[in-house]
Amino acid sequence: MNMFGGLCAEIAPTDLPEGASPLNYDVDFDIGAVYTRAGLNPVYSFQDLAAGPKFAGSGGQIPVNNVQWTTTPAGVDTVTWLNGQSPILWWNDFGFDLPQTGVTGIEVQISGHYTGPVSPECVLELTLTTDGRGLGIAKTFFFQTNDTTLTLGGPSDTWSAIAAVNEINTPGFGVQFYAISPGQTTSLFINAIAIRAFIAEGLNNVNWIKTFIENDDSTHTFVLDSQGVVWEEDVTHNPGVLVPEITTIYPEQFAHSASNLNEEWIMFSDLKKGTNIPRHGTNWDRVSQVGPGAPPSCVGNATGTNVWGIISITQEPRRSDPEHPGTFQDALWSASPTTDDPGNVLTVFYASARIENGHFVSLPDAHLVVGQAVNIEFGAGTQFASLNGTYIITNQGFARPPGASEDQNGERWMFTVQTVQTSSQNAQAHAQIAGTYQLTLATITLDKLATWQAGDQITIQGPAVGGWAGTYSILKAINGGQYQITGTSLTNGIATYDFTLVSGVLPTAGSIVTITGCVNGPFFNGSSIFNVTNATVNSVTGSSFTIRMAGQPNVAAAVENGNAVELGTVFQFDPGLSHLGLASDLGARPGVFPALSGTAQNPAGTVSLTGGLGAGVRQAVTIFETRNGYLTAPSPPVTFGTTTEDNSIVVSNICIGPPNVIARIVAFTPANGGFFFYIPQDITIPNAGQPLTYTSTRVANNSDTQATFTFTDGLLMASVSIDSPGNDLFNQIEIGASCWVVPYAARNFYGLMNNKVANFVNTTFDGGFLTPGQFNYPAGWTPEPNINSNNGRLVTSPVFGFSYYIFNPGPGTVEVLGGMHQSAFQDAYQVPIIRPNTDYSIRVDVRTPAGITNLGGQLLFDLVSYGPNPPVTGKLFASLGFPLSAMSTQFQTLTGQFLLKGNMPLTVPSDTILRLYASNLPAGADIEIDRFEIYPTREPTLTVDVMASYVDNLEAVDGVSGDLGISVTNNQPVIGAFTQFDLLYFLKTASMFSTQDSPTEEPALWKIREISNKIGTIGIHSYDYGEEWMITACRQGVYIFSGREPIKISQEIQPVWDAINWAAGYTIVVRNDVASRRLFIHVPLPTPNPWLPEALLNPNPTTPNVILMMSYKELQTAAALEDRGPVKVSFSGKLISWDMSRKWSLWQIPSPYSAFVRRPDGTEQLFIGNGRRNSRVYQLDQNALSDDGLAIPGLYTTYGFIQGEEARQYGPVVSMYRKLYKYSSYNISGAGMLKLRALVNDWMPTYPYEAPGGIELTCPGDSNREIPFNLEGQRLFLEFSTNHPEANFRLSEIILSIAKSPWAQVRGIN
Amino acid sequence: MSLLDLSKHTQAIQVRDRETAAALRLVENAINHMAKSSGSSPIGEPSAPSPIQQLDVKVSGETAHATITDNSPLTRNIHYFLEYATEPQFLAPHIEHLGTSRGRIINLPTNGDDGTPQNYYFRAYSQYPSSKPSEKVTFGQSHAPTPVVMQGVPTNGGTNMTLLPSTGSGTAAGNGQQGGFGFGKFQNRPAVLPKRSVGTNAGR
Repeated sequence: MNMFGGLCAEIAPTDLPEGASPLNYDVDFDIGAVYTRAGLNPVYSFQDLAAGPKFAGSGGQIPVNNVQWTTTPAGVDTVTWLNGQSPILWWNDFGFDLPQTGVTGIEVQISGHYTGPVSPECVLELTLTTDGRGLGIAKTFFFQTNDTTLTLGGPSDTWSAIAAVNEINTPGFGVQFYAISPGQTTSLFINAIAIRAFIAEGLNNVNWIKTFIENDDSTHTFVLDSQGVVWEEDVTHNPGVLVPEITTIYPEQFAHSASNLNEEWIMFSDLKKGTNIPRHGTNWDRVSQVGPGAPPSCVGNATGTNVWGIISITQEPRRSDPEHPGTFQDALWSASPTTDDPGNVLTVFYASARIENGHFVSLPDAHLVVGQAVNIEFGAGTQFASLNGTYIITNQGFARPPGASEDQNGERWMFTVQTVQTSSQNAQAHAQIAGTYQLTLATITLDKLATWQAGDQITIQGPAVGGWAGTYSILKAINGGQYQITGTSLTNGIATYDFTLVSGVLPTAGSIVTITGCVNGPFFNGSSIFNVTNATVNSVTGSSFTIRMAGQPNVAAAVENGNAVELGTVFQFDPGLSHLGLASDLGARPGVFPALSGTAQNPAGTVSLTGGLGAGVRQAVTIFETRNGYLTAPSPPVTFGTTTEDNSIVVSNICIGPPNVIARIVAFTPANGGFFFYIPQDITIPNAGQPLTYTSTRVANNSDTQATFTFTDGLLMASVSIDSPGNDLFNQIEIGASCWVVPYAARNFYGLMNNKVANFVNTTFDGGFLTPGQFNYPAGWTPEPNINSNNGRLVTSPVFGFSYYIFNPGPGTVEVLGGMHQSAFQDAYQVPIIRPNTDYSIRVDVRTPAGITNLGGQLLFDLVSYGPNPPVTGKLFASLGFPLSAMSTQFQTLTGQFLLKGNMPLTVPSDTILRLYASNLPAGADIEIDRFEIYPTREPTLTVDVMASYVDNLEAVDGVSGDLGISVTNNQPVIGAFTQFDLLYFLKTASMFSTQDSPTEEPALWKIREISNKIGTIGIHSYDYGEEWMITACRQGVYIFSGREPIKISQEIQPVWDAINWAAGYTIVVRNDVASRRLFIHVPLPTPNPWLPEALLNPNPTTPNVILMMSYKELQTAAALEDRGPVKVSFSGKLISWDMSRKWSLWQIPSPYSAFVRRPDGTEQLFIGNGRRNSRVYQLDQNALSDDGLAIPGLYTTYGFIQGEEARQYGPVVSMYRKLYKYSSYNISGAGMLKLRALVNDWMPTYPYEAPGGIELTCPGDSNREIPFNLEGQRLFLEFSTNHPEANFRLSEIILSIAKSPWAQVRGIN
Repeated sequence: MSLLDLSKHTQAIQVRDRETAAALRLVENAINHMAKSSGSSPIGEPSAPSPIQQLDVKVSGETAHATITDNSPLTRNIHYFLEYATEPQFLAPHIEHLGTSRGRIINLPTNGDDGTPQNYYFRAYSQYPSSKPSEKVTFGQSHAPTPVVMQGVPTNGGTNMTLLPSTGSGTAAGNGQQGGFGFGKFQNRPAVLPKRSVGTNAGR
């Protein structure tokens, strides 16, 4: 026998043909051979795994005897002292974010030197407090006189009392340093200090592994352990080393990810529902996030009238060489200022740049600005008189004209312009030349105050000199300005405003200001008394000014976020090339226009602001722009109006976002319009004079809360729409935690997503806040007036974005703290939020950082309608508490039933609110809520909805047009998806569907087609791919799908398949190795069982403990794999086996996950995550004789020699009845001791025969090994096994001598 | 313009079934021919045409004659659209579908309902039936369209009629506020829903 097939469990062992196997495990197959499977070798070494070196984020010192450390300009800390202990220097905030696996040691590196007669004894201590106080865990050392770097501690040095991971992760962790001088003046110099923390290996399973290849081929491996740490291996630059990457995943979770647009997109789940926020990119930001929780405040910037009289328009005087007025030092028309080669550059050397007595004899003209216009006029009759005209300045500075003195006396101040014609050779004055120049920059003086700002567009109409008519942009306010009001107070009738300058000039006593947006003090007519119009500034002191408010009560100082505008009358603009002159120039210079001059009573014309903002009702929303380029859903809208007099919109209350937000965008509707647009960048439109500039509506930071935008509706509507199909930000959702993600058609498709009520506002607290510098209530929430709202505030979440933190500083337990609420009735678009006749539950991610869990207290959510007399007649519809006793110092998800539908009237009261607060919080206790979600109890997970992103915008998921409801024929959950033949297939538990990209339609309109109504997949990892075919594991078996109907390929092991613990079937993992042609299926298989009789007791496995391995070598196509089962019926009707067929073996490798991982050499290796709680990732290694030290229990059992047809074939030699098995010979090699058993008649006989002493194997085997038997029976199974850490075997031939039983061919009885 | 390409599949099919492969080639050619003839694309969306070069408007009485100059490379079934509004921002313009013609003579009232003369502003663009529209070109400067005033009969000052609000065209919004859409920028116009219509999935 030289054919060794795989396990065939469906046919009775006694009926198996030659080559099939009734029992084998932990073996692998070649064509014509069977051998012990490869062993498992750990891939990653966790020894000396370190975080760091990290450097201090802050530090300080404790002086001793008034001696202090100082820092040199080079950043070296130094001190000189005489005797005893030096002052103490300390560093902390090293920024560690260690996983909870534990710390094995700490290493400190310090660099420096000393000067003095004797090296002082230096002392370094670990600290855990922000004041630098030492812990007494000290090490001593000595510096040398030259700079050296000393290393203290190490990978296993715990410094006597190592700190816990949580303590090292705090900013207080650090070191302090001092030295002791032996009584002589000594100086110390410290250059740098750094700390490394060495991390313990951990005792975890490995639940997920994934390769991520960047566009530049840089390769990374991500590993998720059951502790909840995602590790990263930099395969390209530092292979074999795992570094903790994300440490905030909950324990015992799994992951599924996709590489798309050069990023990895990871979903975390328990394999059935999403559990942690999905993450992506280099910062591991959340995949999608909520938009701002509150709208901006907007007012049209109206002045009451937009027409002013022009008192004057003046321009700069004509200028020339100060030493020789009326002339230039030189003039050159050439290729450049320093050559006389022909060209079109006209250089005016307008003054000498020589230095006398240490000073320039003439200073450069500070008014010359490249890009602005200048008029040049050479004297009549000079050689350049024909070039007289107005030009744009192309360069300015100093240069030495050709032929000038080589010393500094030859250098001259100059500017250049570009001429139309090209000069001839040597077109240079070479001497003083008559000429003057004049800049076109104009100053306009108005007859009354205006609030113009830089960038405003003005239109001059009816000027005394007609040529000035036109539209220009204001460059600068000479008087007047805009200020941010940061604080207000009122004392004895004097209101004080603290301000910062936004634009223009500082106010002065007598300035006229208009102030808006203040909220301090009493309100009259709905506005704070600090909001005034055209008030006169009384005094200005530093960054404060005062205004008289006689008769008003005193008001305490408070922080403000207001806006003030000082009116001005004098502004500058540049009219450009065709507007230049003085009064005397009228008529003297054709094509230019002299200055205007009028009076208040008789202005020289009028000027108006060029608004472009049509009159009408508008809406505005704020949008967060993240560092990933993602634009969030908009805030709720604000409605406001603009008039024909408005030329800009002043926006305040622009929400400040979480730390990953880099800009905010304000989108507007045009007047009376219904669609929103924003202008992504400033727009400059060429004009006859200077270009017209309109502002972007993007605030390019995450700090400013005010901005003024100038645009026209035409420009706005030509900019970016945010409510169009394919980019409808209003329909964007923050995707819930999902189980899987699959890329297709430049989109991401997310599945098994957590459901939630999407139109509550800012329940993740990532929707920002409104008051800069103050973390208080999250935007969209209101402090609850009917309960205590104190002691609640936003904090930066260690998970992502912000979280809401409630703290009781004591003394004593407080009944209610941190209360806030929002509407539960309708959202800003009148869409119902809480619906009647629906049960709701809450899932909340929460912790108590202080860890006080045994003294009572809880986090409460209420649905309440107060009615007209709050809170006396309030009606409580629902209340759900999460006690502190259920929380820990680490975040976790808690869930509970919230609203029972019978408790809510069929008409939801319009004043129904959702309120959140802490109840009975003990002193010192706290609650930190990272996020919460309210969801319909009956549908916690969107099982039949697959949510698709927009094209090339993978975080942007449209909750309407991106929702593929895969519920065509059933409501089975969509477990996974894959692409094949340009189609996207969806796998449900027992059915399969497909769809196809329709480039002009969003996915909700794509057609869904049924592929199979029986076959799907069982878990999110229970399918894998081949060469344009797919293999899936489902309850019925293992199926291959190549585009036709799914074909079963596991019928031969169906009894094994049926024995799987299907309650944990969703944990099955399928991996297909197209290179070595093997299929690996991780299954939870109760043991022991008939196919693993020696396995350890594990009757109810909840995670895969066995790998079903199928070798399909030489089966090169899906069709071959479908057809080539282990046995078939020959043409003659005989049951036969064949070698090139599917060959199964059970591998006893407990493993929750495996994946093919790209290695530095470009190959892809199967990495197997351990299921033995040792934190290791394994690789199959054919040279390894053990599984990381554990024996590989390889066993192979042949069919029963020989079948009846074979016996008939050998006629009179071998009996059809009882036979005598006399002798055997084996082509077998390997290592260690092989156990050979001969099993007579039955594969599990009561009395098996075992070859005495076993067979000592060698590799290579010298010759066939021979074993005599002399056994009688109907058939004989041969069983080969090794079970020792240093043993394996390879069997490729069996020769068995069989004859008729010489004693009794039949037994003669039953 | 992306055409249907079944060659990869027909080659594979031809090995097994030449008749089916030949039939598929015929279908492929027919679909592509139909797409070319109609200025559409069987796969995806054709590129928007290049912008027209110029729009001219001439007025006499209450008749305006608008002509489009378009020297861009074209394929058959190019369509042109003319839009006019009574304010320069084209907040809700009225749309004239010119078909494949590059000119149109239209009558417009000189005054509004109250007898106040109205300014008219014009712009135009081109589009293939399944492409996005081209960039719009305005009569006058893009940021400062030139107003056109109808010249009603001097004896009575011209017709008084304020136009009804525009209702748009194609798959653009029905309130006329999506000017410049021509046939539409999107294949489908979903039913009008409140913004942020993403609510709970409860009760499905």
